[in-house]
Amino acid sequence: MNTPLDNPVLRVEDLEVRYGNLAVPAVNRVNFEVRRGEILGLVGESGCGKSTAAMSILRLLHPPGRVTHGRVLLDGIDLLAMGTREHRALCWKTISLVPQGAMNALNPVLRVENQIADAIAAHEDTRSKGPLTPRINELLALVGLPSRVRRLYPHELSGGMRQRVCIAMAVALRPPLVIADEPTSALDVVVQRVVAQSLLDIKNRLGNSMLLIGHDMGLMAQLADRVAIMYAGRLVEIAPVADVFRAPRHPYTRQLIESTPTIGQRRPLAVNEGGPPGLGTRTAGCPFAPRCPHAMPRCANEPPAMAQCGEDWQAACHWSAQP
Amino acid sequence: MKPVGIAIKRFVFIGLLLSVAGCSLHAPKSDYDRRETVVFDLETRVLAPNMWNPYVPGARLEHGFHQCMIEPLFILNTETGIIEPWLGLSMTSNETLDVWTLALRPEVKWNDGVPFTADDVVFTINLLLKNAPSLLFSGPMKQWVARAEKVDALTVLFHLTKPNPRFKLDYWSVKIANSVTILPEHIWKDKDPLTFKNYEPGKGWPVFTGPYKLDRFSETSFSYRRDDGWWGAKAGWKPLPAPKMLEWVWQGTEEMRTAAMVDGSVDSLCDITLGAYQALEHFRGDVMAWTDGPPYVWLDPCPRALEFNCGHPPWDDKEMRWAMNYCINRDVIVAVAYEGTSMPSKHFFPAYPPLERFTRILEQNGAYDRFPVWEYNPDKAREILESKGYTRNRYGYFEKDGKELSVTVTTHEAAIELQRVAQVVVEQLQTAGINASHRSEAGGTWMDNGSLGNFDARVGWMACGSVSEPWSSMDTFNASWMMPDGKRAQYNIWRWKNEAYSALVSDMGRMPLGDPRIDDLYWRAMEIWLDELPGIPLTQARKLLPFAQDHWKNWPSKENPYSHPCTWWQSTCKMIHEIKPVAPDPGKAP
Amino acid sequence: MSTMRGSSLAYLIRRLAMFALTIWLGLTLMFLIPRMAPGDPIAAMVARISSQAGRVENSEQMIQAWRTRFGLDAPLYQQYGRYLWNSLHFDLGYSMAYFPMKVEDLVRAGMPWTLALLSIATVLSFLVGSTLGALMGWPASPRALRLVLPAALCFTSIPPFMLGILLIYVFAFGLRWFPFAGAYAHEFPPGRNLDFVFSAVHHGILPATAIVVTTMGFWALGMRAMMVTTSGEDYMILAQAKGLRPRRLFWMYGVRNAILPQVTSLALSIGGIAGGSVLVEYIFTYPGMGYLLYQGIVNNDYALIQGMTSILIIGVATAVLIVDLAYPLLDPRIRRGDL
Repeated sequence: MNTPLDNPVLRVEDLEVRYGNLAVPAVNRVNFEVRRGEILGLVGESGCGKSTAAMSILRLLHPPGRVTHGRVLLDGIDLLAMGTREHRALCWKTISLVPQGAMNALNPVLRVENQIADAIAAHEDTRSKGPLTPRINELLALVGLPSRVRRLYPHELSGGMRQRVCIAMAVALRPPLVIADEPTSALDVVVQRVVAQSLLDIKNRLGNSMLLIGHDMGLMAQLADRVAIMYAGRLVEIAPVADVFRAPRHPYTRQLIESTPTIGQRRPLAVNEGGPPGLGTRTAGCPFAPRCPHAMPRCANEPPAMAQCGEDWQAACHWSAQP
Repeated sequence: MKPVGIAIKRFVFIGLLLSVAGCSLHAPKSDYDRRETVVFDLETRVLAPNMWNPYVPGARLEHGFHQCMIEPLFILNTETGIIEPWLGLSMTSNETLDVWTLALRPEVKWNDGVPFTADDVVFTINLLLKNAPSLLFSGPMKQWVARAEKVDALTVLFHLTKPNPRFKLDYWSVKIANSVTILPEHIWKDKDPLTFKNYEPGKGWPVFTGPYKLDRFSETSFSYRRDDGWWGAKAGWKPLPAPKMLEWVWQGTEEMRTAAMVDGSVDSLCDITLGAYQALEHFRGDVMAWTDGPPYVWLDPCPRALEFNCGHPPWDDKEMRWAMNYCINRDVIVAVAYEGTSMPSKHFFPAYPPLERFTRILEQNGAYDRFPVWEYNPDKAREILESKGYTRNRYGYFEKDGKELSVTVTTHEAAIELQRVAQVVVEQLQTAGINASHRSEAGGTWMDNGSLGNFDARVGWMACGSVSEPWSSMDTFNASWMMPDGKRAQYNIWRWKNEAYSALVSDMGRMPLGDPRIDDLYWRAMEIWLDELPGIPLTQARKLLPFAQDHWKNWPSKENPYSHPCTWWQSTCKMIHEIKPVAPDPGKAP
Repeated sequence: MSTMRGSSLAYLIRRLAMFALTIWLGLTLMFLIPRMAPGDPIAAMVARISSQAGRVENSEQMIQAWRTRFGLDAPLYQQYGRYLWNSLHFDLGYSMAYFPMKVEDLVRAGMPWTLALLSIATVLSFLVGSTLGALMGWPASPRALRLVLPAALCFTSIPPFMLGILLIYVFAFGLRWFPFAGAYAHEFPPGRNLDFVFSAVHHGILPATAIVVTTMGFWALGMRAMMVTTSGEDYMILAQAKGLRPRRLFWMYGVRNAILPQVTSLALSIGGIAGGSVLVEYIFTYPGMGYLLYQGIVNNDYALIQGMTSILIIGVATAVLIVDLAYPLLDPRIRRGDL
């Protein structure tokens, strides 16, 4: 086996996404990779571009959003350059999606089994329904659901069960990469744990990689191997999750960690007044500078670039790069 | 409503038909040989097509039933005023006008071969008397006939309850639309005439005397096959009619009917607009109407009028009615509502030749100098209104004591012609400062509101009745018919009460037809009527009836007035005998 | 399972009760409305004759005689009681305007034509309209199609009678492909033979086309709106991510969900077709029920109006009942009887 660094499952290169004619890209020249067998957390507050980036990777971006630059390499193949038909044949087999927990992600008029079977039938030659049933049962068992769920309709399931059905569906074809887009949002805390645990179990059993999109650093600490922090469309820090929690290099990362609620106490939000710049306003320097407690004159004029700041650790910050 | 609109309509008509004409004139549509079949127009669908009882109130007659199966006793020719015999030979009264003797034509047979005799006539009368007033004509029969008596097989005596000079004209002659139908006793004698449908194809029903038998029918089309054993031909009275088949077909809208005639699939149409007729002329040189040139129309016997409820103030005041008359310009009504195809009317009689003498009496007596019915003079109207205490308000309407002078003119929902007239009238009244409006009511409602007196003004066919003598229409204004509002009035729904007029008209009604004393009574009554003007005569009623001449010729016209051209009247039975094929029958040697 | 069955039974009973209530209310309204409207059926009948013949003598006595015969002199509650009793026995009675014809016979003459023409036309219109609407609302439809379809719907804005005339001129008079009027050819009277069937179908095509073309826009617009909503739903995004074939995406995920509200409307229009289509019948001189109902109203023919509307009411109520009972099959969310 090659080293993880040499052979990532997914490499995102210089990805840029714009909505319509807005001045600022929603995703601004982002680079990262998902290594084999790892869970990479992609973290940031709402609107930072993390979901847009994920949708771009899945080619589910709807107009007016469009990829204006960059490549998405899956095992070295650029997904964005493929033909529609070719991509459709490939998609669920290579990258699947666990949608947001809040999403009404299952077709209300189809039974669970049909929706899972749909995904399989679209990519495999399945003549009869016979051999699929055990497979579906097995998938459901994998996420801890009894086989009777197979015959139910989405409205007959609880939110957590629905999300686990989605997980089962995502791994139906054993894809090397699962993108989980805020999989636990809008679920209550106990259910969040169950779903998170399912994701982790699956990953451990199937050995797939996972891109976990979220805003909750606590969840990341629980699940992810590495985290990539996004702010205003840019990647600001990427590092193993333990390192980041120990000593975040970017002030924004620090603020995210400090605002994470822990059990028993909830700290006030540590982020400064104001919010991230909108997509309509172009900033000359670091986009975080207006909210940054460590902002320096340089920050206002010169955007910081991602720089190596440790082993397997990159950050884009003038302040932390100071000797 | 504007001439431009008419021009556009004509253009659209021609445009639509142009697209058809080139390719459509070949290939006959009917499965019958068109050289042997005459196709007539049916204006509405017949919802109960297997109903062949002519006496129930819902009976339909004009789908060929009374044109080619039922034969009348007599027919009034509206052009000559002569009553022409058919199944009857003669009908005369005694001096006192209360006993009438009917002589029947010998050798008349029902189409099942049974002779038609006095027994059938007596049976029919008794049946009507017994079932009065539920059946059609049973009311008047009950009113007039005490007893019908068979003298011999071909003679019937009618003993009347009181003298009636018009007994033959009003009930036994086709005067307007139809006449009393004689029923075959041998078919009807055990039947309940209220529920009997008179239809059983296995038995050859319906049985009548006409030269055609029912062939087949649906709600939209009726076919009749010539009965070559018809009594008239056998007896040598008249040869068999030329058409082997007659059809009455519902064609739908005016556009469809017109197109059907362009197409050659129908030989005659019921009333159409001038625009449609001009389009027809454009495509078919051979189409004809009552007159060769404008106005093309034949006049229906019921002239149009603006009628008031003379019991409702302020219309109970004759001067107010005259003021309204001065507001109305009949030439504009003719030009706009009729596209020039009618003529103004200065009384309530149809402009038929037999009635011309009576119009002349009015003119010779200077009636229209004293009562200028045709004068359009808004200034006079204003003077009258001002003398009544009306003044113009800030909206330009006349008002008195804070009440605006307003009137709602109602019309029958199915009568498009009258709605157009009403719209013009309303516009003219508005211009003159009267806040008039128009409302169209469902037919039954409108008639009901009329007889109950539940209206202020309406455009209707006032005083319909006279065709060859003046009394019938005049009597409809007789105060003896008066009913208070809310009670059904049979006639005089206008609630106009004039004892002097009524006495004169009642006297007239007791005199034999053509009595010289009538003229004087007539003039004295009309003098009162014109002075009071209970209704405002507007126009004659026009019917534009085109005939195609590619298959059949010798249709009636003003030059050839053997009959009038209304194909939905019973008098059409005469037309059927007169029309001839254009091409000689290929089956027969010439 | 037993509780589910219990609630299903309760659901069924509730629906049936609603069905009965609807019919009773409808019947009662149809008893009252014509009687509240101005005009009298017998007077209207006489009016019809006198507008033909100029006048009818002694009409007042005749009206009175027939009013008595039809029981219109009786107190209203008696008339109502008799009416309900007869309705329960499906006895529609005699038409007042066409006495001695029975309402049943009048209806029986027009009903088969109306049912055949309108049910086929309505279903076709629904299928064609909904499909067009679905294609218009589907983001992945080819651009050319999405430009052409709205143009096709322009026909919907043509009034039915104009379209009818247009069809007749082009296809009946011009091209002579179809007959221009009636429901069957003269030479093939109704019967169990192919000639008649072909003739009837041949005659039905133009009127059906007129109905389909002018009504499909209604279905198309409703469907398009629903389809746009549906295609933005989360399950559509997930289904796309699953790499489903576009056809399956379109039908099972798009149309299958968007069609649900349409089905209720369809049931209502199917239930209402017994009322016929006056204009189309008029243009194509088609012997259906629309004209009958129209005449019933014009003539104030209480018996005819009541007879026809009770058929309509029962038709619509039955359609609603069927939809209520069948809807759970279409939409599993309503299967628990929790409505």
